[in-house]
Amino acid sequence: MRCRTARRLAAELAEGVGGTPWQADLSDHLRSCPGCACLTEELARSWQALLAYPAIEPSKEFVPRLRARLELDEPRTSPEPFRPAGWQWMALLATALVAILVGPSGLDQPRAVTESGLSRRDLADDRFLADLQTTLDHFDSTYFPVHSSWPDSLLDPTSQEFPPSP
Amino acid sequence: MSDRMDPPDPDAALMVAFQKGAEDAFEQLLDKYHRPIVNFIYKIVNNRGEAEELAQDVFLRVYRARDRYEPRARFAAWIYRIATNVSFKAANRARRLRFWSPNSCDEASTVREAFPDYRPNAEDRLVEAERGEAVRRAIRGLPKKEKLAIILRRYEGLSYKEIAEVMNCTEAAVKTYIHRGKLHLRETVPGYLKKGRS
Repeated sequence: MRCRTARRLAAELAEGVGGTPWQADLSDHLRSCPGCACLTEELARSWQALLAYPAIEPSKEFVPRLRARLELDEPRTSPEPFRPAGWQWMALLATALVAILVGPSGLDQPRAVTESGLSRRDLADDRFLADLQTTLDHFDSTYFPVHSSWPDSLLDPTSQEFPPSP
Repeated sequence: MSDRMDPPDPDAALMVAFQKGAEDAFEQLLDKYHRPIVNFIYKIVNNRGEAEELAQDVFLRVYRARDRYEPRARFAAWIYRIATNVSFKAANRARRLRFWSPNSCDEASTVREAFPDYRPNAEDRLVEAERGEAVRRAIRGLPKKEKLAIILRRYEGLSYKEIAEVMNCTEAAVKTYIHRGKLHLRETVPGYLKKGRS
């Protein structure tokens, strides 16, 4: 056995590994090579010296504290955050692209113009105003009736005779 | 796949039982592993309080990962791998903090702090504490991978195969790390420790 091989195996021998096929060859080499024998001895001693590292004892609260943490560690019930799949990313991208191309002005619908030259929105406004006027007239006639026999002066708030004396 | 059939792993069986709802199986694993895991992490982060805190995180991760656990590797390799990840992340974080606040120091920077049950009048305890501190310094001076391999081999008693699983490398690489580590320690472990106890 060469010294190089012996020194590599010496590190394993230092651990006290026994029953390995190379052990007899190594022992023969160590008997005849003081350098390798010295190295093997030193490696074994430093390996043994490592046991001087003292073990620490976990505190008494370690296990109870861990149990408390485990009890608090309920399975998460909150819904998973939305993570788009591949095709959903494509759909989102296409929607964004359309929105960019069309722009805000594209969302403003053009007004449909009728034969009279007025848009539908204008006609709807006129209809609303007419309905409102009808309602107000009805309200006036119901709660503030104007008698036909009353002189016009009574209907004029600037008149001296307004309001009419009882 | 190995030629030899590995012996059945009782801890992996406990973890599988825990997966199926046996809470006491987790208790058994906790009882068996909490002390070694705390000690293992302590050797990496060199701080007792932090070691306990990180060990709690390790068991929380084991608890949460019970549904994902697959008994392909031995349970010891799996839990030490989690502990390795957790502790090296913490050690790196501490190193960055030290960089920004150089006045801070490790809890175990002195013999007295490293060994809380140290008694000034007990000579044997003092000698023991000094020996421990010397070994601690020697281990701490090793490069990261050598240190991890040596700790797992010497203190945790893992096989080369299990260490390879923890470190995510080949068994040959583990042997190299341990060999180099031993050569380093031969230089750094003080001579009086190598002569044996008087």
